[in-house]
Amino acid sequence: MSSFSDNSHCRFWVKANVSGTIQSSFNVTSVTDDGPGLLTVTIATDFTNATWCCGVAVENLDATIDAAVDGQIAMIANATQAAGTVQVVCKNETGTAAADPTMWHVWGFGNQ
Amino acid sequence: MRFAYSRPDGGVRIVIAAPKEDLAPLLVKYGQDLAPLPFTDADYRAHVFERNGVTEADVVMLPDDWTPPDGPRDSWIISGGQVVADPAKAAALRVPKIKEEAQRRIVVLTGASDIVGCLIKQHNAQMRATELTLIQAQGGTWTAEQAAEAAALQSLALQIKAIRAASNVLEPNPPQDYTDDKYWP
Repeated sequence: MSSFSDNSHCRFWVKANVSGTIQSSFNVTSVTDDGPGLLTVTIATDFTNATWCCGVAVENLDATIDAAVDGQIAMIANATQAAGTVQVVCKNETGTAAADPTMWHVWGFGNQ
Repeated sequence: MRFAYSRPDGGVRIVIAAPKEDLAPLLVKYGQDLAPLPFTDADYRAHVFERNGVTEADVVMLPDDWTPPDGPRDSWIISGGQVVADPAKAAALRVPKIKEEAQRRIVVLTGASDIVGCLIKQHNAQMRATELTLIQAQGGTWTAEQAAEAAALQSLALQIKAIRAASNVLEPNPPQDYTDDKYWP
């Protein structure tokens, strides 16, 4: 087992709202609003390859969990992960339509 | 820094750059004496364009207080150096929404809680209508209760047909306020 090293640290993170406004970030050049429920994150310093570990979460639409729309699903868009970019997707509760969340949270671990 | 550029399919990407002060510590340049050189505004713009695979000539710069156009996100296009909602695209995007609205109204009309329940109720209504029709077809007569039941079933069918007809009227030229009751029976 390898020891803890700099590689164990989060290499980038970003919190952005539905229109793509960056609330806070680290090692992120930009975010791109690609359409409803779609956001591309462009990392400032590339990973060494596209196999880095990505995480994505979305914030609930309101203060309650009492409607189908509260069941949004956040995921990494299929085959979009590259050394310097990733596209993330937010879908409605049935996974059949893209839907904007209140807030995106995206982060990544890996070698740079 | 915010800019837009066209996707190959004619849609629009809106790029929002991280603030320069967030990127400068990461991307600071070093001179021969290893002392950091300033990360200038030009460096910042060059970095953002290069990382996004675009040139300044490809994009429309947007002000920091830019407000999105009034129209569905998928209807946005770049026209005349601005991001605008294309009325034709917006109308086309509303067609499935109108069908959904019609469906929602039919679900409410049948007293079901969802589309599956609605379909079951319509199926049961059809079966009951067939039974009632057969009574008369085989020479029988309806009781007052059966006649009232038949009238209710026919009324339900007519109301569903009216909702579908209203949807058909709206779909060729979908209004923005298509959920307004004024468009529906």
